[in-house]
Amino acid sequence: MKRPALEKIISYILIVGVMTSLIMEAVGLVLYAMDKGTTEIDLSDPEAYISSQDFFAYVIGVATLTLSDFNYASVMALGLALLMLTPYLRVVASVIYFAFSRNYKYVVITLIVLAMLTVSLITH
Amino acid sequence: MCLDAITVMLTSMFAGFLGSLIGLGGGTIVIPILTLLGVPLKQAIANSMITLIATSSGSASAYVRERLTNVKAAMYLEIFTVIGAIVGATIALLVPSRYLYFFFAAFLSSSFYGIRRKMLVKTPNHDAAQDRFSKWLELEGSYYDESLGRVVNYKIVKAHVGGPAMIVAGLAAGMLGIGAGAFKVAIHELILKMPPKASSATSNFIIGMTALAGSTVFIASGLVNVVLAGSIAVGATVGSMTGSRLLPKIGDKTIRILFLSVLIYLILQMVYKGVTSP
Repeated sequence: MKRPALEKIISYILIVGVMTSLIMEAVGLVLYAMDKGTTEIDLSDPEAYISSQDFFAYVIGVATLTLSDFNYASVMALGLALLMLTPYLRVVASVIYFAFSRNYKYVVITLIVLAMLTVSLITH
Repeated sequence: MCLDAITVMLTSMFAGFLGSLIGLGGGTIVIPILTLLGVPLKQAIANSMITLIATSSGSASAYVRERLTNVKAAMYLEIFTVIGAIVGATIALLVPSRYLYFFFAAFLSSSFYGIRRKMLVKTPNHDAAQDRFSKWLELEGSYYDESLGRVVNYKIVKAHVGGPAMIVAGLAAGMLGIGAGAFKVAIHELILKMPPKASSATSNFIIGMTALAGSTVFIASGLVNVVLAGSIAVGATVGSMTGSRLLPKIGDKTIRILFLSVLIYLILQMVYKGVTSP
C-alpha cells in the first residue's frame, strides 16, 4: 500500500495556503488604493481592524461578508485568516496521517498541539 | 511621520531580504523599523507576528519537500513553543511598552549567535548513543547534503531537555512578535545535537507554528490592522524569497558587515526608545 509522504502533503498545504493569502493581500491593497485614493495607512480607521473573539466564527463571518460585499477590508481580513489556517491545517493533516500510519505516539503529540491552538483560537 | 502602505511594503521587503541572507527571520528587523515609522510597539509586534507565518512557511515548504526538516522533532518541540508563544503574547499585551523595548534590544543581541554560526558551519557525524526518551520519540533523520556530496545521518539526543528549553524560545517569540530563530537553532544544535542544515530548516518550520500560536492571542487584541499586516506580509515574503535566491551570489563578508551595522543600529534605537518612552 502506497501513501504519499507526509512531507509532500505538508509542503503543498504550506505553499498553496501562503500563496493564496498573499494574492488576496495584494488584491486588497490595490482595492484599498483605489477606494481611498491614497496608499497612506490610517491607524485610526476602525474599518481596517480585525476583531475576533471566536476565530472560527469570525472566519465564517468574514467569508460570507466577502461574498456579499467585496471590498479591501473583507478580502484582506479573509486573506489573513487563511494565512492563520495554513499551519493549523498542516497540524490537522499530520494528526490524520499519523492515525493512518498507526503511529499513536505521534497522534497524541500532534493532538496536543492541535488542542492548544484550537482552545486559544476559540477563547481569545 | 507618514505611514504609507508602499513605504511599509518596501521596508518589509528590505527586512525580509536581509533576514533571509543571514538565515534569520525578518521580524526582528521589521518591528524596530515600524516603530520608527510611528507604529506603536505593541501594534508592530501583533501585526508582524501574523506575517511571520507567510515568510516562514514559504521557505519551509521547500525545506520539507527536500526532507531537510525533521518533521517529528518539529511536532514534539511545537508542544513547548506553542505554550510559550501563547503565554508570551499574553504577557506582551499586559506589560508596559517600555519593558518590551528593553527585551527587544536584549533579544536582538542574541542574533549575534547566528552570525558566529555562519562562520563555522560544520557537519559532524553523530555516532553518540541515543537516550531512551529520544529513541522512544523516533527522533532521527537523514538528508542529502549537496555541499558535502553525501547523505548525513543523525540521531537527536536529550529531547527531555531540549523540549522544555523551547518554552523559553516560544515565550520570547510570542512576547516580541518575532521568530526567535537564532535561539531555536541554538537549542537544536547545542542540546539536541542536530546538524546545521536540519537545524535551520526545522527551526524555520517551527517558526510558522509559533507565529500562529502568538497570533491566536493577538488576533483578538484589536491591534491587527489589515492594511498594515497585508503590506508587511507581501513585502517581507517577496524580500525573503529574493534573498534566498541571491544568497549564493553575495560574498559572506559583505552580508556580515551589512547585517552587523543594521543590528547595532536597531539595538541602539530600541534602547533609546525604551529610555525615552513614558
